[in-house]
Amino acid sequence: MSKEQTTIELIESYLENTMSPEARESFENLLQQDPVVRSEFEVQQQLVNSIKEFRRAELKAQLNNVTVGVGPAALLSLKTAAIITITAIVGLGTFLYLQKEDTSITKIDLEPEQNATTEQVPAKPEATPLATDQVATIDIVGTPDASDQQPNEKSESFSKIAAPTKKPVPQPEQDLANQPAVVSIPTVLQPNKDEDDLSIEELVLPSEQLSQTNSKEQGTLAVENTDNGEYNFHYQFYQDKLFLYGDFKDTPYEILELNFSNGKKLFMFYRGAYYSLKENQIEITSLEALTDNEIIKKLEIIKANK
Amino acid sequence: MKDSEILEKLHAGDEKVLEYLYKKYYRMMTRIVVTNNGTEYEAKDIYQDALIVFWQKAVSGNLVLTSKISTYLYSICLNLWRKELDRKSKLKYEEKDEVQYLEQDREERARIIRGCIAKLGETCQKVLTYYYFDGMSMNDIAEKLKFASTNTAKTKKYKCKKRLDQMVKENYKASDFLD
Repeated sequence: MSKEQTTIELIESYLENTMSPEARESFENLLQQDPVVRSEFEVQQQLVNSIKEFRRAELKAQLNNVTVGVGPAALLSLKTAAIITITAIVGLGTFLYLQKEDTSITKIDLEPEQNATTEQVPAKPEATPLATDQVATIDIVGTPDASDQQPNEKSESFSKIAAPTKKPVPQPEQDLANQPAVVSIPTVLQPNKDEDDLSIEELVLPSEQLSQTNSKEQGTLAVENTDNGEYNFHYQFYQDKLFLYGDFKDTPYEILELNFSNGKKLFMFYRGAYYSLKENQIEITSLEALTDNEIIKKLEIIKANK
Repeated sequence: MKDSEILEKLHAGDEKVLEYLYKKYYRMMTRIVVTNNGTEYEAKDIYQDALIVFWQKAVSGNLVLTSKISTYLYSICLNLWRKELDRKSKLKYEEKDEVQYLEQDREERARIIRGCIAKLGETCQKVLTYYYFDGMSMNDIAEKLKFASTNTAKTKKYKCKKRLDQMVKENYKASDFLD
């Protein structure tokens, strides 16, 4: 082995800590004295360091290639962006949902629920007469609204109906609580312009027992009469329209509405008897005469005041 | 993965678990630097260095762990970053020229040596790096690189090192080292 080689091996064993303490000490002396050994020592040292560095760089490159996701600063901005996006989506969703709801509400409004204060009142009480097989007796029970100043107008409009009009609606603003004011128009037989569009205006003034919800009292009731022989004295309600089955041509009938605190009820007066009309009566059912005297009395009052 | 399991794998030189650790504590460790006048780039650098220090100790069996791995890593990161901050502030005041001159010389030599190492075959590289950096025993190296025996590993290391020495010497005149 050359001297150089032995030197290198000596140095290596020193650097790798495989020397005994005594050998280490003698080597350190050698280092101090021999410059050649010293220089070789430096080279060897750098070699080992470089090997270590090489390995370190290799590991570091490996780690660098590892995907860690997002760093702390970027993560914060990512979170912020996510929150904003989610808020925007939720907000948009709510907005669209509310919009959709609005349109359905509007539709309901379009239904002929008339306020006493609206201007639809004058136009409404047009009892368009029926064709021969459709008879409608329209009874209009007029109830001026307590807060309403229009009862006179109403009565005037009632009088436009092609039928002998009764007395106009009295001016019961002062007496609302006690007297049902009623305006009724008797049967009319005329060619019907619009067969299906019969409107009955029914306004009921509250008596003591009845509710005072005046603003809701006007309603329109479409009635259709069919006389085909199958049913001779029946009725049904369908899609807010009253279908009468039977022969109602000859004798007039009256539709009366009573408002109760829990709602309204429709009745029919025909040939001396009162019949209740259930508004949720989808199936064809026969008209049953009322027997409840109390209700009959009330209905009579209403009818009498027409 | 529990700490004990991690340490076991580290001692066996399992590089996959190193990557696992890296990902696990990345945010926690980089926060130290980022919240301490450091950029994310610097934070990553420091963290990687710290983790490699930890790796080297764990593989070579020089690790004495009395706390959680995360705590240990945390303290390494803190130390490295403090050193770096010191170094940065000192560079402002010391004579840069002189420092640079010395550095340049060593850098030159280091560069040549690096080049020579790169020219070694992969097996030589692995044997030498596992031996000198990872501090693996000849036995473990033989196992990891699938040598026939421990002696094979020893011989391999001897031959590889010799070759490296020669390569480096060929790139330098002896007089250069006598400066």
